[in-house]
Amino acid sequence: MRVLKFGGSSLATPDRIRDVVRIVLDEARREPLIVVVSAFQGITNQLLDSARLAESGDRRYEQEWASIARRHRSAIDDLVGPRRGRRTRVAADALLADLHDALHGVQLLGHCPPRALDVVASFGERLSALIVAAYVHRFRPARFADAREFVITDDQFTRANVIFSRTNRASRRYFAPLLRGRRRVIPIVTGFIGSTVDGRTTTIGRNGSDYTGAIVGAAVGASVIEIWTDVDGVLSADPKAVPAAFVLPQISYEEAMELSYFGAKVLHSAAIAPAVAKGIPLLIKNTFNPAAPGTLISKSTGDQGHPAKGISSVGDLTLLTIRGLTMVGVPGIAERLFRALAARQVNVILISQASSEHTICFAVQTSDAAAAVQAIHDEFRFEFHNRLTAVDEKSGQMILAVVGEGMKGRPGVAGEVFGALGRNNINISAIAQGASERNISCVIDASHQVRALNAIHQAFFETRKSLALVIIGVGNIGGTLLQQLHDQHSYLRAQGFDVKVIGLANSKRYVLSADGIGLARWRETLMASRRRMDARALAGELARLELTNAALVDCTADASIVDAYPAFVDANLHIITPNKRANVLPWRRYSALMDLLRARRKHFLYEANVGAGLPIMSTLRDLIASGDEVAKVEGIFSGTLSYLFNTFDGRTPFSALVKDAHRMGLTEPDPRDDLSGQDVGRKLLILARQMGSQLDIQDVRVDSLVGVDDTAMQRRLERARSRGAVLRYVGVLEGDRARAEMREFPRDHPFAGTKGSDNIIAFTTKRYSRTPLVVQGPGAGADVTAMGVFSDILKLLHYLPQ
Amino acid sequence: MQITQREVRGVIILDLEGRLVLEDGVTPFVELMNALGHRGGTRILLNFEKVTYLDSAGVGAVAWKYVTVRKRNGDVKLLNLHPKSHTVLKTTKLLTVLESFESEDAAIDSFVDRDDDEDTNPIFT
Repeated sequence: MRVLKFGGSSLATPDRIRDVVRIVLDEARREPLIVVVSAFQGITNQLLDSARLAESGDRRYEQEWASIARRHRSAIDDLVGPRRGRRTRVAADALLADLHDALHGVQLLGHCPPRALDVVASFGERLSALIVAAYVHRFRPARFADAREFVITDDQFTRANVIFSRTNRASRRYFAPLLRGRRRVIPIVTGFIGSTVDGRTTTIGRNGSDYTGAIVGAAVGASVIEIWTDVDGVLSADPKAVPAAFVLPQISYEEAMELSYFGAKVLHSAAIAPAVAKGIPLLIKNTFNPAAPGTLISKSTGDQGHPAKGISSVGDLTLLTIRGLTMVGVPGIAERLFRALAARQVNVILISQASSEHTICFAVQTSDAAAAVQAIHDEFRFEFHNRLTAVDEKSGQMILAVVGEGMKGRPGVAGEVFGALGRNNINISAIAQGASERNISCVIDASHQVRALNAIHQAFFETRKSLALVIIGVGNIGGTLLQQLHDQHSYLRAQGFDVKVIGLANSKRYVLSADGIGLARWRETLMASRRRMDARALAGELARLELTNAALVDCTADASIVDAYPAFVDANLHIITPNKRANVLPWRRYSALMDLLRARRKHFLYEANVGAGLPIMSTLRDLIASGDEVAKVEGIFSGTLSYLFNTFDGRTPFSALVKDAHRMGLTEPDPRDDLSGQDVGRKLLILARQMGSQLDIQDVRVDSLVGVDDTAMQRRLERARSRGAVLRYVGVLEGDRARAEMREFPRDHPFAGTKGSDNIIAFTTKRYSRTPLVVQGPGAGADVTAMGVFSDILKLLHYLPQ
Repeated sequence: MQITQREVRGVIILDLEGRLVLEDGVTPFVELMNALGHRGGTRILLNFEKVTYLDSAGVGAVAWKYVTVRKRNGDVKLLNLHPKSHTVLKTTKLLTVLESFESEDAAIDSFVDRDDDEDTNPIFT
């Protein structure tokens, strides 16, 4: 025998009631059922409002009543039909007349005590069960079952306590004849209501229909209690905050209670207690998606390999810390504190005391904070007077709770929680873990709620790695990168990576969408945006999104974007860029940025700064990381100068070659920017800083080719040829000395064999001492530069914790 | 109608005897209730055990004085309603609001226990 409970949202309209009844009839084919229903959606609130209006003498209670009457009468007409529904209509009209009289009585006496409120509230379930029973009866024998006949309570109106001994007996007596033999019917039970021993109507608190389901299920020994609601089951986290939240197939009673205590909305822990006591499983199902398997709540946790089952949070808290030397080793301090708080009816949500006993820290609802502080001042007035004790108050806090049976006896779970928060720059104010080890709770700043929930969810539940990108600069390199990301989307997914672009900007405007921007039409999306580009405004907006696993990809050469890097880092973004400007900032600004990145635990990746897509930076980083000693880095770092010297054979003047290269688009808009050698100097500085040097750009000696005439160049070439050598413009980094200059290389030297606009870089190290490690290939162009950025994105994905 | 007044644990009990009707008991009942309710915070238990008849004026007087006493932070409850009186009060739906008891002890306990609790309605919150 099963008990099926349907909530108000499942009974909001006649169409939804039809869906509910379809489910009921389908299940009734298999085994006997008891169905428990709530009031139609919104009706309980309307009833309570009408009672309030009547109490205050406001005649608008009549309108509320009329609206309630209309809704139920129209449901009868719709579901049972005006002719066939005559008897139901008469019964409903009698109930509605009683409701009207009750409200009238309240209005006459100007008073609505809890007792009267329960009477008024009871009509919601009485009407809905009547109508659902009449509709089910069209297809199978069904009967309206008034829970006041068997749910027996005390007289604590509006929150009555169930008297289980009487209720269990009465329920068994009531249902036995209905569920047996050929005269079996489907009882449609009113949720939420009961009655006292002397027959006065009571209600059993909000979520009362779940409670009724559990009470009846436990009394008659149901095989399962199905709670049909409007979600697919118990989720691993609140989906409004954590988009990746998923339905948990199975959890234990204890996990369900811990999750519901910390804000999960599906079940109220008290409501399922009778089922828990009898070991009856509960199945959470979705009326709007009956095919979904739902969540089974039972004795077993049904381990799915996750130590944690869910993450929940309670907001709007204040953390209070009482501290003082007089507390150390003095028995009874905690007892005095909590007695004083209890006397003022302050509910303490979390307690944490350091073993030094110097402080006791506890969290309360912010609405209770003033009363708590007053209670402490009153209780410890002697200590305060003598300045022996102080109390600190920290508002705007929340508790984040990680719940799971699998956390018991499993080392490292707390480390995982705190590590995930730390990586996302979320400070923890207090920590509590119960001895059951089923729950780890920490108090954090409420403004980080979304980021914290996502960080923990990723750490515990998500096997895929996600990364959100904000790309500034959508010209040659940025545009090519977007195309590569679009083309490689399936590949990335297959590798377990979910990469989405959530922000795009050019110099004029930006667009932001936390759900991701479709890359097939990114240009149109950006063009349609009305947000004027302002890097700091964009960073501010990103900070409000409380992102985890996000990166800024700066594909500009714009100094103002670099100026805003700290704001992006503060917004919890890693930085990936081919833009060299940050790496060549004056040492003080550069080191401040590096310190900030370290403090915020953010990665800064810039492979494309040197050699575009060639693995120059990563090779150097790996050499250093593996303990090699780099003696010299030497190379042709400029694609433009590489082309000019590869082509310069004396037959065409050097200046004419520069003009040709400019015409072919191989130079900067002003070729002097290439000929000055400054770009090579900047690359040397980046490499030097990577190697731990504190050089500044003025420390790099750069020989400029600007102003060198054709005759002088011709003479240099001939002199080199006479010695069996070629000319190349190279950068050399040796110890703390960095210089960029034109040099001769013998014809058998690797630098002599370069073609086109190739870059070539040679690393001479302790390990690569006889033959240097050489990296060679095209070092410029949108495709290869974007690929360098792409490789940084992949690197970042690998760095992110699983 | 005869009305006897006594006090138990701070609750004033009025033992009503006879007919509570327009031409007989209503006027002395109203006058006594006015006098008692005047000082505010008064808790009154109306004992209907010996009330032989209650007409619409009697019901109106009970309701009227219930409202008056409550406005002055007092409360009025009913004791030992005969089936006839019970039916009259139930028909008018006043029993949805007016609290009635069959035992004097339980009635007095209810004044004492619920003194501070009467207006807290957790299902509104």
